Amino acid sequence: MQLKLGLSFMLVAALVIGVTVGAPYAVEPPYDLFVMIFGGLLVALLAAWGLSTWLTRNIRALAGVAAVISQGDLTRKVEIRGQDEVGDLARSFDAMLSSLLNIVMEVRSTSEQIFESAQSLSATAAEVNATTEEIAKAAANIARGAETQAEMVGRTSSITREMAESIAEVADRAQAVFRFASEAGERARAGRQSATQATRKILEMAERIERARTSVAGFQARALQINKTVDFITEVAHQTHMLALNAAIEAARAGEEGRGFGVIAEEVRKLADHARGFAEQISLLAEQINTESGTVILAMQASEVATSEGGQVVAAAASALDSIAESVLATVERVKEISELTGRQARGAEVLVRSIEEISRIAANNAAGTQEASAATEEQTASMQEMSVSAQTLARTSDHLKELISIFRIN
Amino acid sequence: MTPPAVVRFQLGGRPHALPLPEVAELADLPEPVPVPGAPPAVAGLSDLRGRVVTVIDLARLLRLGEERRESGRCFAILLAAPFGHIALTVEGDVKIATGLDPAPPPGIPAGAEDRAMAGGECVIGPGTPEETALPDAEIAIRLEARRIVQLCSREVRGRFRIETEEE
Repeated sequence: MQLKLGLSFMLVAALVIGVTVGAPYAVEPPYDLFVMIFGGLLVALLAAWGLSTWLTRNIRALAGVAAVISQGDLTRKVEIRGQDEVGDLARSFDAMLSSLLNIVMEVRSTSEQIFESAQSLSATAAEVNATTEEIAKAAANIARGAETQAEMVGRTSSITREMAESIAEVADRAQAVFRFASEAGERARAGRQSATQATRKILEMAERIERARTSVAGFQARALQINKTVDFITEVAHQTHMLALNAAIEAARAGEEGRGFGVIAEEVRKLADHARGFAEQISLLAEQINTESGTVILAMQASEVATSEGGQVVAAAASALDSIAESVLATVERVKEISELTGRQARGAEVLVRSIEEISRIAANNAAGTQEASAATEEQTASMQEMSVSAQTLARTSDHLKELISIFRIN
Repeated sequence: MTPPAVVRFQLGGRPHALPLPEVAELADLPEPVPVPGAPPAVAGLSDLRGRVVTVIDLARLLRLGEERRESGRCFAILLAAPFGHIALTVEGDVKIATGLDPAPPPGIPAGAEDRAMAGGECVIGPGTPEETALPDAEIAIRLEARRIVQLCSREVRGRFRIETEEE
């Protein structure tokens, strides 16, 4: 606007100046005016040319700078200090140039950074790709391992189930053993009571045998007394026999008168013989009784010894049964503990089985997940390869951008 | 006439007999006290109701072996007078038998002859009336008190004569 006003003002001024300057040189009026106008125009043109030249010098300088800038040199500065539009344009241009320089520098720096980043990314992608391939291999191995693990866990689950069943069976058997041991304990107690009763009975029997032996000994003493009595009777019978014989002798010596006496003597002798015979039989019986009593006493003494020994044996058996009962009771307690432990073990085994089944399922899921992870890793490898290619492409692009920007001279 | 009676007894396992008039009594004598220097047939001296009697082992005297008697008891036949101080030890089973047959029965058991020869003296000869039959058909050897005493006296005399000769 100012330029337009300046130009207009310069034209008007040049015209006024031409007319003013040309008027003293006018000869005739028509020619004078023409000269005046022509002169005014000429002056105006010269003034306008000079003025335009003066006015466009900054624009030309600005164009020169723009031409230099178009060649990529951004280091130039616009040296225009005017306050007119051109000055404004130059300052704006200078600001634009400065901004462009900053932008180019920023782009260059960014492109370098992008290039470096792209290269780094490419290298990283390559490394990641290599790592991913290793990860993929590892994942494949892990997948196979997970499958093996799942299979092993499955076997373990089966074995654990069998073990749990065995433990449950052991628990059942421990319960049965507990019952049997309890019954054995009761029987041992009953046996101990029976043995104690048997000991009492044996002692009673020993006492009865002793009393019987005492009675038999008394009986033997009576038999000895009988023997003595029978000896006395035998002696009496013998003496009677002798007297009868002597009486018979006397009767025979008396002849016919002694016949009746002889008969009586003979009868007495026979009676004496009979008495002696009976006495001998009684003596024999008494002797037999005595002998048999002695035998019975010996047998009873042996029975007493045997009964005593039997009592001791039964007492020992009772003591042994007592010990057995105590041992069985202790065993019952232990078996009870074992039963409880096996019960807990069975419950723990069930929990273990469930846990292992859960582990089996998790292992199966892990195997599947590992396979998926392996597949994902393979996909990731492909992606990383693509990313590597992209990074390389980006590096080339940034390199190209840097080449493009390198036309700008900024230093 | 009443048959002669005898006292029958066992001696050496066989029945023997003594005429009843030659027998004074039967007695259980105490254990005889041996007489030093007497022949084996003389068992010793014994007491019979305060009277000393000579006890003769008849089985030993007749070479029938030693008379078997229980210790502390001596069953003997006390001879009648004039041998009333002599008692003959006999085995048991003493009986008074009557109605003897003086004729010897046929078939005398063998050995009687040998037993009858005692010390070279014929005390009871074979086939003599000393062998008789008892009423129950039992064969017994009849002895005589006189001959028994003679035999015993010879034994005693022979014994002391030998010792005198030795002296």
